[in-house]
Amino acid sequence: THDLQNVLCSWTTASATDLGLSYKFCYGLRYSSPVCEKTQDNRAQMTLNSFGTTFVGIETFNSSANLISKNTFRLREENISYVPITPQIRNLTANSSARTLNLEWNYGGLLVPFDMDATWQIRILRKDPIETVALETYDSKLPGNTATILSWSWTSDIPLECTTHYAQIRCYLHLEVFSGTKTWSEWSPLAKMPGQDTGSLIKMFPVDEVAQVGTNLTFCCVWKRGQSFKKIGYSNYSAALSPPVRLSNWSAVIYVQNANKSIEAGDNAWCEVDPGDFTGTTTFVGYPPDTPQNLSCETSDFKEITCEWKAGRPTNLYSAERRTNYTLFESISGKNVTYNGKENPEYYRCNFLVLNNQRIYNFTIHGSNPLGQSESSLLININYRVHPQTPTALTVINNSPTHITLAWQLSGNLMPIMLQCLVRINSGGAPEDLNVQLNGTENLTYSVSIDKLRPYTKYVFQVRCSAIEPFFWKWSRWSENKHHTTLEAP
Amino acid sequence: MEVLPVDLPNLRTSSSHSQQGIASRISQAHHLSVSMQRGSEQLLTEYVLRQGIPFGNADFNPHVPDFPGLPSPALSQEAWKDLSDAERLQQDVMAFSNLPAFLSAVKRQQEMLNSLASELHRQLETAGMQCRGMASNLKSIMTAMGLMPEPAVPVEPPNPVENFSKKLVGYYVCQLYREWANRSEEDLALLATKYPL
Repeated sequence: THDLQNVLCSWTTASATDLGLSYKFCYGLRYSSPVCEKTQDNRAQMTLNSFGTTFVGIETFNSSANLISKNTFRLREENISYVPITPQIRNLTANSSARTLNLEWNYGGLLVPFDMDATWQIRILRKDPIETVALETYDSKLPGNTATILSWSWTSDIPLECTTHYAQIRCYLHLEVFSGTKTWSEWSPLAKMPGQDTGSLIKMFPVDEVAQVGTNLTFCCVWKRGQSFKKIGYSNYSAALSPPVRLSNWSAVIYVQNANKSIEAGDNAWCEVDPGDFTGTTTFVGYPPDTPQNLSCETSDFKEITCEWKAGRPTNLYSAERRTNYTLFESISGKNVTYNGKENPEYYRCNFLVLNNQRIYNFTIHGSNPLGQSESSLLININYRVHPQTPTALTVINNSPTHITLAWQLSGNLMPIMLQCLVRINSGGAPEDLNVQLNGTENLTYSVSIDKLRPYTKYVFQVRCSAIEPFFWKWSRWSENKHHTTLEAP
Repeated sequence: MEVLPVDLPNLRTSSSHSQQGIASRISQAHHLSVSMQRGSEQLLTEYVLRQGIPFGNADFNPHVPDFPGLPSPALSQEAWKDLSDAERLQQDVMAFSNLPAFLSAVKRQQEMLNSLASELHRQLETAGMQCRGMASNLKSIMTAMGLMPEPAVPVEPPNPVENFSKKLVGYYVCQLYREWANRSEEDLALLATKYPL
């Protein structure tokens, strides 16, 4: 039975030749009048009786309508098999770049008023002559009384363009309520996903694939009617290449084990066919982005925060389509900045505008390339990450034999913090360092008075600054030297 | 009909003067072609090196197709000899007028595909400049010989999508550049015998 309502019966006849035979098929319960039908076929249908015994009588008549045999059978539910209705694949689609076949089928078969477990077997076939390349089992639950659309996908080991792929499905319903034997449904009709091996073009697949070092690669070549296949080569591999496997009249595939890093322009696979034609494809073999390393963010002027990081292991993938793209996210404000600087610098840098009234920044640097992604995070308070710029425009004012005022400029509005500046005073002997604390200003200008100088003496002044403890982060660079000779004593 | 007196010696001096002018232009162009021969060899070697096997394999010599505006210069010896000076020069002018567009298309593709190959980019750039120089030299020779160079026909270098096709087209263009450098050297060497310095 397919539907727990009707039972399909079939039988065989002992006589060697059953030409012209006809049958009278009757069934019924013990004390009920039987239901009969005449048939030329040796099959008939009756209603399923789930409780008790059904009595079946089959009378066989020869072509002269003479009764030649009469058989009776006692059928209980256990003697009946439940064969689910064959599922139908309603949609077979391919995602070539992901090499996935996506099956969609509906189960409109037995609608029972309760949920039911179902097991599906999906068979993928290809090649000429056709052979099964995958037999996968998939369990699901069918909601009661509901026609269901189910879907499942399969990832191919070869590019789908290489040859035509077929899919078939059958199901087994875990019908607890049925005491008879339960079997698999029939296989569905083949659903077909045509390949490019139609004899109309010469081409290799995959095209421009990006693969990870150490993985196994697959290349196939399809060629034209009238051409004959010679060879497929890949980079300088010969040992690691499998012998080509024919897929069909106009398609062959090779497998490359444990792929090495490719050259920057990608390694090539090529296919030679007679007479004198060839085609090829390029594959880029590298790594997914490494976790960004040494992520550090600082500000020099409370206008911009500069984050820098190192890429870690090189990915060996270049150009706009394949290199690692970095994006700097800031989760508190929800803003992000994309890196668009030079390819493969030693340090990557991104500038992020300082936001009004926001001191705490939760940065995440996210790197992605065709092989994967990775990220690093950093939480900072920019007051603790001030790295002043190099002091500039050192000038001497209020010049006297023993005292001067040294002024300089520090760009950026450093109002939020207290600065410490180290003035290095060099007059030929051991340099003397003067550490002064200054309020950060908006107008860039700072100065300090220096006394106890020797008259008419050559001095060299240098300055560097940083935030004071506990906000210290980094010293600025030293300023340029400022040469100055004090006035002569009066 | 009035017959203008002609001062033969001047004519002879002026025609020998223009003969000398042509000869020196041809010599200059010939020197450039010799340099381009070397340059085109180096370019092809550098190019092949950067594309990966099978480029550079001994048995890798695919047929180089013609491109609109940049045909193969290959000719049989007879056919080449049968060409007139004007035809030779005109074919060279067309090729070297169109090669820069092809070479810069290859450069653009290689800057994407081989961003680190700065030497290759430099050689492609130099080749384009030399082609432009050669084209103007050849035009000036033709003009000096009283020939009218045909106007250049705009060309559309191929711009394939797939990377292997980009590599292949670049290979073909470098091959064609080398072939035209060799061809122009032969043409100019022949012309130089007719217009000795």
